[in-house]
Amino acid sequence: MRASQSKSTKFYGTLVVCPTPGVRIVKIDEPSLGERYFTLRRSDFPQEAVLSICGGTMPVLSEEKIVYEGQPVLALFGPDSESVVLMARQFALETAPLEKEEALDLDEGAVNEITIGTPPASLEGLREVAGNIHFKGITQPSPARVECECWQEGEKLHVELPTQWPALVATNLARILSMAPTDVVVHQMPCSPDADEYLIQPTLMAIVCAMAALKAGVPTVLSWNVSSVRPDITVTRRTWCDDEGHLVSEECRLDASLGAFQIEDEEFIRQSMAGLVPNYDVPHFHAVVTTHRSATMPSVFHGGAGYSQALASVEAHATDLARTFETPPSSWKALHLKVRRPFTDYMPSVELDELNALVDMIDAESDFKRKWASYSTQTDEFSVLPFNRGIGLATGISIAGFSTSYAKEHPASAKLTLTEKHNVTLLTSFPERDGWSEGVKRAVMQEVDLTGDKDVIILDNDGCQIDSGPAILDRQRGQFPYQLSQACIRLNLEGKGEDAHLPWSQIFNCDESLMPCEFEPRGMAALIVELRLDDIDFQPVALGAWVAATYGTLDDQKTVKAQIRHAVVRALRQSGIALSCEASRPFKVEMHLSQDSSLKASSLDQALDALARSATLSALRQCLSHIEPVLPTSPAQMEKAVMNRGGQE
Amino acid sequence: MRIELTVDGKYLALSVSSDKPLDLLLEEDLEIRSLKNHCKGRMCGNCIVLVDGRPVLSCLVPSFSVRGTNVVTYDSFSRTRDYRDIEKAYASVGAYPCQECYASRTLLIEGIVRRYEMAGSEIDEEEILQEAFLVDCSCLDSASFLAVVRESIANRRKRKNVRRA
Repeated sequence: MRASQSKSTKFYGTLVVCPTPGVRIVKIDEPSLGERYFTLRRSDFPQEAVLSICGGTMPVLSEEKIVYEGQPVLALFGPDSESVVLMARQFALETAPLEKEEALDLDEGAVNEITIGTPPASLEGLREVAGNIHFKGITQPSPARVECECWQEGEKLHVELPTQWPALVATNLARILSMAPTDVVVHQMPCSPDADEYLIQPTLMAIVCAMAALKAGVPTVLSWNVSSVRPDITVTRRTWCDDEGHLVSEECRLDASLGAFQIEDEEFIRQSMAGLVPNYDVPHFHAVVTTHRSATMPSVFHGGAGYSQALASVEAHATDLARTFETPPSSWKALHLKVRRPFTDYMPSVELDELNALVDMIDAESDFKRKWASYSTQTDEFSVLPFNRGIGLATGISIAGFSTSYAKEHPASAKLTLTEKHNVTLLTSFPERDGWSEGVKRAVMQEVDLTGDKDVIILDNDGCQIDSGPAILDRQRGQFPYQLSQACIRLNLEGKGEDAHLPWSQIFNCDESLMPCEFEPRGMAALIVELRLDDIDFQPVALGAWVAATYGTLDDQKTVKAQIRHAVVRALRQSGIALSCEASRPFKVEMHLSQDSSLKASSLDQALDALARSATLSALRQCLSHIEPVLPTSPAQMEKAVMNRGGQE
Repeated sequence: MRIELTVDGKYLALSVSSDKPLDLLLEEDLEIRSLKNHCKGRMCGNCIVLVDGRPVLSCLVPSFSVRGTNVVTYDSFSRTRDYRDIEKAYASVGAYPCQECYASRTLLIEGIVRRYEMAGSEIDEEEILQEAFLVDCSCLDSASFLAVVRESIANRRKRKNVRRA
């Protein structure tokens, strides 16, 4: 709270949402509000209240057309947050289904294709191995209570909120409220986003809160629980092989439902395409990616923008192929891994020998081959309870941040300054997460040749002077360090020169231009997951994970290990897997890290997410071969698989 | 309703709604900034405070039940020597909780450490691992959590023994 404000002069608000999609509001039954409350509706806005983001648009408040679950209808403001929440519960929304022509067009979306190699003359006589994997769409509410506060000081409108994207908030507010962008001051509050929950919803809240502040003429505070959305994705693959197990051709199709509004679908397609191309040797590969609309809240970058799901599908299919030819996945990969990944528009050609070396590192330690053989022979064994152990392996290359095309369209920047006291300050809107600022300080100290870490100061971007854009997809670690290092080199050359005037500062781009490819490899990893099914409720419980990873730079092993642990545990838990808490064998992640100077700044978040998911699915299929390939797992899915084990109905 | 309690060492008499959750009381009425979550009882575990030395999920505790108790939040705990024991343990094990759950996880560990700080008391790892799931965050695995707790207990015992000697 600002010093000049007191609680008694503020209005506290909340949003009234419609729980049912595909309807229009016919009537709103309001409770008697009295003088201390007021509502904000769509009609209160001077012009159409539409949030504009990445070339797409979505309404801020809507009554005529509710297209997604939980869409805000109106906002209620009152003297304190508790009574407002209680009062909001008394609003009754009467709805009617939308006419067919008004309803959401679920087929609206984009299609893209990629082909590598020449198709075989004929597929006759070849053995077909088909597989699919379904990642269920999840809307995950963030436990953090997000508060947005707005107040006016003279001509300036101040907005205080946690957001990853202050420029988006400022431009939307300026457009909707017909103000000059310079009159909107965004104060960024600290937040630690797990996905992209601090992108769309805080902006929407800021618009409502600011309009209410202007209407009431006093400061307003709006509270809401934001959520992140993962899209619903299905990947189907068909591979044709000859009798000796050589792969001849592969077809792949990825269908994704990306929410109610089309927002940056192209970035999703680019990331998916980069992930779908297999690392195993197949002479012909064809993939199609299709996006659709769905009745869920849109998520700007879809909780990961598709790369991890696409890579997980490749690795899960590789295990299916290995199982078909009764070979342990580690041996199958050693036989079928390409020497080089082919050059595509999405990723340059990459040497893949390292992946097998990484597998070897953890294969022996986890006793993978023995366990695989042992568990495979006992899969679906008949007894009162099914055989309950499985182990899975996955390997892959990571990417980070956005594609070249996206970075060109949406430039984001940071500011590096050499001050008169010979300190270096870095102004950025990136939020602090997993010790990021410590790594940045160390990097600047090394590059600029400073002695103490107090000489490097990372400034909060208070007031929206610089917008570094969303910090999702591990962009802070994957793309930013290289740009920062280039900026430091320039600072050494120009800022430290004899005729340089201090303070010397430069604004530099946060994203790399990776022409001619959309992405660059940011590290490689191999991962093994071992799990068992609980004897009573069939809940899958992870017993341990083994990770071998190659990084471009490896300054602080402890921090890197903490990041890996976080990424693996998060992916397992999001896949519906519990972690072993037996005192004799608590869940543990064993790690082997190595450095490869040919790689640039590294980030393995995306790859580890994918590898943990695919290894989990492979392990589950060792316990229960008839399990539906759906993640996250559900009790019903486990029960069905147990009932159907060994082909029994 | 008028309630009297001690929060972070300050004796307070507050007039609040009796069923207001403790986290909202601390956050809204006392403006304690380390509490920023309100999952409304969804057990996210990010609102832990110590009530009379025991870790509790403050979003599940109604205000009337904390009458006459001593509440410690991360704001004041992070300025104590006891906190240093846990901070050192994070560093030596090399496992740090994420920013989101750091405060809650630290107070949870403190609650456990207080139970076992007397030298010679047997550590029940099974019980500690069950308690670990009070914080529903995926940043630490079970083995690392257990290692941090063991290290924190060792640090505390060592410090107390030195003081006694």
